[in-house]
Amino acid sequence: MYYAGIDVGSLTAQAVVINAKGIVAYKSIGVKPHPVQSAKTVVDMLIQEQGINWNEVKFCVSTGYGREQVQAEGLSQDNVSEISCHGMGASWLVPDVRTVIDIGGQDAKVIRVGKGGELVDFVMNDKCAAGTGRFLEVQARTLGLSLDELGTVSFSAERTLELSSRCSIFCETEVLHYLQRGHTKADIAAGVNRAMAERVAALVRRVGLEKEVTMSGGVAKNAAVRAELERMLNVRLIKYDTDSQIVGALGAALMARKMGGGS
Amino acid sequence: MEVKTIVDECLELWRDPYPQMARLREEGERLVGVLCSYTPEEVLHAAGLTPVRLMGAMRSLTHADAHLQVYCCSLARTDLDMALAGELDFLEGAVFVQTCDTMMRLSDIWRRNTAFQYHGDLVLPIRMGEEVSLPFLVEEVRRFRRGVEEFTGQEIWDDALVESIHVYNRNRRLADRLYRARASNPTALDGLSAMSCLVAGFWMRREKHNELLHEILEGIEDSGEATGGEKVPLLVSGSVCTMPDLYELLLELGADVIDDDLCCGHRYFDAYVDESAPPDEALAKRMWERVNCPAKHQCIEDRFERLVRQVRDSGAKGVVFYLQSFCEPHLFDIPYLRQRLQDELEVPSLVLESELQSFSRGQLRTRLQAFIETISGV
Repeated sequence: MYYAGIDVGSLTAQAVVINAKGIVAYKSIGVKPHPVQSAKTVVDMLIQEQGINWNEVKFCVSTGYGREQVQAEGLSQDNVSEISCHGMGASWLVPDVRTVIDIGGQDAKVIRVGKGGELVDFVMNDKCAAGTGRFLEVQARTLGLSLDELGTVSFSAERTLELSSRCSIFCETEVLHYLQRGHTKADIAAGVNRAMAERVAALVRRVGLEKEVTMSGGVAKNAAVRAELERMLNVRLIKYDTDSQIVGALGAALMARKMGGGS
Repeated sequence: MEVKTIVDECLELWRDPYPQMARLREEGERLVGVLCSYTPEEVLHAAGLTPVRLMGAMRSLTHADAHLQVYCCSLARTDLDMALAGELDFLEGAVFVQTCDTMMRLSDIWRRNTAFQYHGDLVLPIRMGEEVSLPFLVEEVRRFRRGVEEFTGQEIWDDALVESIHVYNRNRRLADRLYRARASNPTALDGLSAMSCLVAGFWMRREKHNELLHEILEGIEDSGEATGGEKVPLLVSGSVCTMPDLYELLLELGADVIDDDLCCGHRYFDAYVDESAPPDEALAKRMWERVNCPAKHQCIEDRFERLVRQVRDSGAKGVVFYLQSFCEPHLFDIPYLRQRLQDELEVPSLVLESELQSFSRGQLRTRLQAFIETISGV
């Protein structure tokens, strides 16, 4: 008997299938124009590539921005906010976790959870895309680097350049300015990653930091941002044993297991 | 008329009250814009004028940013923008109660850059509820009354003012009954409907609003046995709720607003004017005793104590602070209010800020849903 979670975000979509013991299969894709299309595609790929028999899925929960449309289409039986799902997923992966930092494509969340993974409090970016994955994407594109390179290259920086603007677009202008002045991509990338970490740290301080702390979402894959955050918050960010991008979908699958009577 | 029909009309008014204001003008009403719940509307009413509340609008700004900094609240910016764009030409003027820094400066900017015939100012003492500030406030009400008299060219007789006070007190009593009816029978009237019926009164003659409230109350009170609501009960606190979006979303997500601490809601109709006292003094006394806008200090009841009482009495399981971005008086109070709600009542709260009266609806939905999940579990 399987339980599934589908997380359709702004940039990527994931599906996770679990059973009574744990994760059976998962898949992550870039989103399609419509959330239902993304959900169908990621489920189809899970079926085709990993041999999951979807008829054996007893209960499915959708989450992320497309959660209600996915449910309306009959692909899931219920929907839960991605904030609760990220908390639940993180808590299952790291049972002692109390603070979950999740930086997605267009939003940044800091979630406080209780002992059982239940949601206690949260804060979310509410002004603009500064402090989200989109910020890194814009700056990486300007630097001519891939997202992976943006993280790795900054470890060879000789100095970390200051990016003072709060605005992603103005930061792009600052990056261009540094490039024209002949600064190395590594030094600029280090500045970009630090600026990103500063925005996330500010969000963490708003909700209050309680150990243990984990980080999920695409930005968690950027080692330089992680390192900066650990330094700023004076805390170790515990790494997941699995792909940090599937935490929301995993939480949804765990919710599905609970709702479907699988405990 | 059916309760639902009245509620639907009120909801439409809440969504966009400006065409209704223009209609009132065409019908011969002499409209004066009011930006603050501290305005002694009775004085305008007694002078034959019709106060209408300006609660901003969801719009892109084309004029106001040339005069106001972008860190002023969106209420001031959108109201000024409409005035400068000529969209409020149905008004004969507006009243500015000097509560916060933005409202004080807005009054000057409005006066210098618009061509309305009437401009009213009322200065509130910084500290309310203290003996020394009451005589000042009484004199301010008298000065305001003289200003209205000069504009209309007619004296406002005491008995006319007492009559207007009576009309407004009746409105407050009916609004209070509406809230009580709503609390005791949430299935007959949800938070969205109750709020719609209340705010609709900002854009009609007060006597007509009294009739409307009376009709709704009769409809609800005859609707049969009261049944408890199954939605998660929440309290909304803040200044004004320009659009009904928040209330609508909460209903969709399985929650309902069972009480509020808004200056376009419960704070607006709270406390009565003493009809047996001289009218100027009685109007000032109500303002002086009323629960404070956070822009003012000290009143008879502390803001937090009142919030606690409201949360306890209403049975709210959570508080949503709904604020205008950059509204410093409200925002300064938030960390303190949130902490005490959590520590003393174990009631969680969520802070929402709206800029130009709008939200990213998808994000607002996620945050509200997550907040409701913290209360009710998943």
